[in-house]
Amino acid sequence: MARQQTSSEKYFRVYKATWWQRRQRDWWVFRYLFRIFWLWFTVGGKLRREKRRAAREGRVFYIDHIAGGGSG
Amino acid sequence: MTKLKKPPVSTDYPFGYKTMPTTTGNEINGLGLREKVRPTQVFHNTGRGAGRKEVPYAALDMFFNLTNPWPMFWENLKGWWARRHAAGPVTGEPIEVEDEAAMARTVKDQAHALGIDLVRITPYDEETQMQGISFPYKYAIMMGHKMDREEMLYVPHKRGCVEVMKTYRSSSQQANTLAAYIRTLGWQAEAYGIGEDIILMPMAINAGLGQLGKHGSLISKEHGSNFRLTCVLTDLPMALDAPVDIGVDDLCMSCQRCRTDCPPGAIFDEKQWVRGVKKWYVDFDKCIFYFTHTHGCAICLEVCPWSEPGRGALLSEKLLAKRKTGKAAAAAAE
Repeated sequence: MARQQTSSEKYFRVYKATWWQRRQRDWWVFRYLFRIFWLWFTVGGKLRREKRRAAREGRVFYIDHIAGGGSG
Repeated sequence: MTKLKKPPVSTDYPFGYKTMPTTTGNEINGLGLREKVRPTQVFHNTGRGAGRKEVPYAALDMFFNLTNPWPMFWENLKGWWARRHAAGPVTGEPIEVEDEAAMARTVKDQAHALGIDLVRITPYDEETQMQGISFPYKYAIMMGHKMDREEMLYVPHKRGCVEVMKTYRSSSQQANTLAAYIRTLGWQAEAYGIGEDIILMPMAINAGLGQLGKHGSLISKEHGSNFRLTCVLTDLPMALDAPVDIGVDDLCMSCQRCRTDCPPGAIFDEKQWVRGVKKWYVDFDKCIFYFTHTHGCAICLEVCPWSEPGRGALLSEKLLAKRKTGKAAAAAAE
């Protein structure tokens, strides 16, 4: 069975590392992390506010809709 | 007796599933299963194969990641940025290793020089890894990285959890450096730490870094449970270490500290059958909501008597001596 790489292995790990490959990898990682940062800032900000509001009001904030098939 | 610096957070969670995932976390983890099978992903996942959305607790995982406070999230981002150096090109022809014990000593000295506290070597064991996952290496250099105890006493509050992320970040960098050193010897090596689809604990136990405790985490003689794991996988031939018996079971059988201090009551009093092995296990379905609510909890790790600085060696000595005396007394009675 062929070994299946994780997405992080595929894009984070460079085994030959020419100057161009290193630059490509860094650019990919930067864009990936920026996307995560953006998610934390926007969606995360909303979730953190909802969590705080639910705690204040003594109710439960349902998370099923996050990440699609969570309730699968 | 360890006293945490702040009282724990309440278990009244302001979030939850309206419809719980169709299978429980304990079922996915194989609780009660007497047949030996490899584990499957349930929570943290980096997207191998099926991908993040297919993991049953993906929504909770996403909620955990996106609600982490900024200092934790920032440390996490820095850790991910550092991970791009986990692999790299091998320089030159592989050196010939005639004395594997000497090579193991060299690698361990190098790790100690990098500030890595615990280093032991074991064969890479595919059977301990998740289904469908394999790594093309023969050996695993297992490493334990101590956390700042004073900061960790703030768990389950932000300050303690930030220390966990800081340790993960710095340990990733240390593991990367060790892997890079091995590559200069002409042998491929890759570092693995937080956020990878690798299961470290069984190999750490095999390597003799410590034993599994009642709280489902590793206990070492040196730092108790106050440390985090990373590993370097490689083909560089090295002498292997053996598992250790420091007397963890002897204490865990009677000690109730982690059980009584666990706010959601997730710690079992007895070993459970999990995927064909009877071992200490933490109730995933009880633990995970508190873990998410507090951004990592870790109360059980810090209240564990083994985690008190300087206590482990003495405790181990006492427990093993007591066991020996008990055995002798039993033999005499027979």
